[in-house]
Amino acid sequence: MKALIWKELREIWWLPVGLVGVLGAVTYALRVSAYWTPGIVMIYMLATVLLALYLGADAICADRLRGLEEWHYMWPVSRARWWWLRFGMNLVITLVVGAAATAMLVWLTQHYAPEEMRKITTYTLAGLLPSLVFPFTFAFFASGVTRSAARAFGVGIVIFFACSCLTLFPWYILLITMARQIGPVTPALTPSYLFLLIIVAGLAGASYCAFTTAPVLDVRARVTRTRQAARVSVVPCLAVVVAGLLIAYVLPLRAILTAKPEPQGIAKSELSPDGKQIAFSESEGAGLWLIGADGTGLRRLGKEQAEKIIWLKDSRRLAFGSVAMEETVNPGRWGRVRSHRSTNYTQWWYLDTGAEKPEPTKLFVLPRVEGDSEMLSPQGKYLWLGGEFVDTTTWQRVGKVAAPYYWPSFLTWLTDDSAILVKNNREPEDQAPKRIEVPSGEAKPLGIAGLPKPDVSFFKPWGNWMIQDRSYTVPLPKSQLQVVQRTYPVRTPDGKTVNRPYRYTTNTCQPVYVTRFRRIDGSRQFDVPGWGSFSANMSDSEQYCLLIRSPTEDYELDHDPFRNGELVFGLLDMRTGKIVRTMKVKFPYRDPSDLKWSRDEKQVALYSRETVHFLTLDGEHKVAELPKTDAYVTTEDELLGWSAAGEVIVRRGNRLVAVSPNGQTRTLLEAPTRFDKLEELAKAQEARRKAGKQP
Amino acid sequence: MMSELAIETTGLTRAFGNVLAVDHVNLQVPGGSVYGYLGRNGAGKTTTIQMLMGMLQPDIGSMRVMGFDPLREDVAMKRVVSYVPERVHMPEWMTVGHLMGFGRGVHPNWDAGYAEALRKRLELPAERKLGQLSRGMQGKAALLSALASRPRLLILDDPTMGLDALVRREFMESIVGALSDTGTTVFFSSHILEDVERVADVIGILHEGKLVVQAPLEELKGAVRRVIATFAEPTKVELPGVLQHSDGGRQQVWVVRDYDTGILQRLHDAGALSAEVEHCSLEDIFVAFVRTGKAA
Repeated sequence: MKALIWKELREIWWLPVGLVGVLGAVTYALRVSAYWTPGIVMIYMLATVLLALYLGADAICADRLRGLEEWHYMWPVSRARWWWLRFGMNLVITLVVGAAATAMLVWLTQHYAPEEMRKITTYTLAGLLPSLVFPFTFAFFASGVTRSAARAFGVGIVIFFACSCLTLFPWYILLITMARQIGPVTPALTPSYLFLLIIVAGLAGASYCAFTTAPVLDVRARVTRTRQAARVSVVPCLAVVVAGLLIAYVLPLRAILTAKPEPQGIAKSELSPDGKQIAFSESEGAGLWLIGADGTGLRRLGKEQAEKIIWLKDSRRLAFGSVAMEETVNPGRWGRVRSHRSTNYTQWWYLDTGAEKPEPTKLFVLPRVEGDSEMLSPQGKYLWLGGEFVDTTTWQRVGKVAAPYYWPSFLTWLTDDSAILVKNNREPEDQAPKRIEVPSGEAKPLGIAGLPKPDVSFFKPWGNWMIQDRSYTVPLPKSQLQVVQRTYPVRTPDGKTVNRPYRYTTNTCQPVYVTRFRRIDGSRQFDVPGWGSFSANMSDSEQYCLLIRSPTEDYELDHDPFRNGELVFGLLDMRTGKIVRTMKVKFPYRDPSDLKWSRDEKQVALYSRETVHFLTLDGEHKVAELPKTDAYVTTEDELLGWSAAGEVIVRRGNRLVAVSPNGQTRTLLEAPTRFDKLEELAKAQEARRKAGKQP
Repeated sequence: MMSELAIETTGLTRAFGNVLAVDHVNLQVPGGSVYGYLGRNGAGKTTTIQMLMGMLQPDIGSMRVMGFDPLREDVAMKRVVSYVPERVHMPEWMTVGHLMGFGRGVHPNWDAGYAEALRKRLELPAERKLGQLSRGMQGKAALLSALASRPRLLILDDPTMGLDALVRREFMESIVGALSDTGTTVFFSSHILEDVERVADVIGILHEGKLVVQAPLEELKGAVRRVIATFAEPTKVELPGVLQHSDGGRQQVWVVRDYDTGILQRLHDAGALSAEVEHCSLEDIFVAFVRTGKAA
């Protein structure tokens, strides 16, 4: 056996070593560009999958191509042994290279990639290694039944990717999905897994033809049902099936048993207007929960799964929406069968959190709407729920917007709750801003004093204010003009060519960017020149507005976390219309995903991936690192707002975190994997409260 | 030393599509003999050997090689049977030394000392890669790997094909030299009759898939004779067992099998003025059998 292994290794050692070397070089070269981690992940995955396909396809065909079949047959070694040895050796090499690629990729992401990419790659790579077995096996079987390695390679690719397409996702996701299935849903019940079994059964048939004794020279003999053929063909088939089952069941089970399960993130959370309570839910369907902004008072508000949460002004009542389910009852063979499926509608509820035993009250079902679909009016009289106005005192629907406005954007309420303003809607020919009367839902032209209708080029939901970009050019002073003198050839009537001089001036004008800030009621307006394209966020008292722009307008440059990305912040005093302070701050990402003014309006908090930045009116800048989380972190993580205690509440993965402006962080809640454990947590908190201890 | 049969087939038949490559062949190779398996190109020699080595499955018929069924007991069979294919391709990266090391690790009967002696006798450089060897040297390397396990049966599929006369002679001599007094049965196919005649004890002639003759060489040479008769005028004479007949008018030539003196009597009775009887070479015998295509 040692001699056989030695021979096989001598023949293919260069391939894995070469590939690992190339990937190592790629890793080293790409380490500074790790922002593009998805592309890099694809490089590694494709390289390893193609290697698996190549090794499988070449395993048997190589002998035919090089005429070595008969030489192999000179030795007293059975064909099945040769083939199993090849299968095992090449599979081991595939997995070793896959492991090396995984290790390099993990190293790359651990050292250079942003945290959410680390999460993505770690979870993706968890399934990469075992998934290599599939392309390798497909190609190996194809190699056994065809006479060309190229054909076997092609067959392997086609089968592998066809399977991936038919199951709607790659194999590794299938395996990860299986690994995550803890609880009542067993892998055997998933359609994908059934499809996997069908594929394995098909492969078993193919391998029956491939693994017959006689032999490679004799295609017909492969399908002859001799006893020996059955022995060496069925056994490998069964082994492949068992291996597939082991991969599908045992590997995930081991992963589940030995590894820390991936916690689910908190799906939705909202801080109450007074900053004292947080309502939240998560995707496992454990209902709606409430916790104090100080981390105490955890309790369940209801069993309904909230997708959307809207606090009312009193910080006591809230409305929430859950996915409306449709129930169907069908006569089954052994009795009626009830089934539930989700719909494209939202079931709305309301709840009084201050009640002794809060009980959600079902309101109505509305179509699910994209865009700015829910918003409480400034005075708190109405809720805008994707096209309908709901009176918050009676919880009755009092008006409805005409259909074209179901998909609005740049939506804002007027401060007196009399109307909402929308910029875009579903109909492309009707992009002009509109004013929608409340509660009638009638759409009218904007009708803002002193504002010509077509003049609105930019429009933002700041309640009382709007901005307009006004770019124009101005002539340069004569001192800055450049005069250029040239000559041009002219043919004279007598046939000669003479050069005549001419002069022209370049750059006679320069562009000027002016942004006009204007109160919607027309009471105030001023221009801010020279800021070009920026984003802005105004404090509630309309005293300050923070303008943010890129220093270079170069997206790639500003977006690269390894090139000292910077942002320029400008503090605009709304009373004077002047920029009172400009700050250039190192900021790894171009735009902060969330920005909140503090309650005293003396500072702002900006959330950016793994950090919270604090900027004071005095120009002081502090950064707080958020605690690491095992949960799948996405850009949905958000800054909920400032609590009554002057901390910033951040939802991060499976945690609610309070961050104080001095940089200290405190985890208010770390949601466990299964939300039913929150019950235990809540009971423990309650017990401690009764015992007079603080958690 | 003739003993029990090393190879025995019964009705061995194999077709490729509509072409009947081997047609009901009944081989009987005595143990300890050197069996020359003759046939033109495409006669079915290689197909027969591949079936004997278990690489092809016969459509009809059975076979035993050193007492083993090649299809079901191929590994056990190959421990005592060595095989050198028609045109052997070997891993080019291997040196002769590697090849010997590989054989030692794979073959349970490998005799390392004998292998080294063979290497020296065959003048194979140990450090040279197989891919760098000439074709004749590659054949010798294959022969080394076949002989070093001291097989009880050696099957060679046209081992001298494509070699020049000098190399061919060296190769055949090395086989004979290596196997002298070892009692190893040798079954080799060839279409070069000179080689076969030099070393073979038993001859089998295959023609269009059929075994037309199978007999010890000396016996065959004794039985097949060329008869030349001269008549006064063109005469038509019927003789028994005629394999080949050329009618030259007054002089006629027959190649007959199972010759006996009764043939001369017949010619005399038919009015032959003179009659001569000559021994045939193996080539004459082969041509005669192949042209008639009759089974012996």
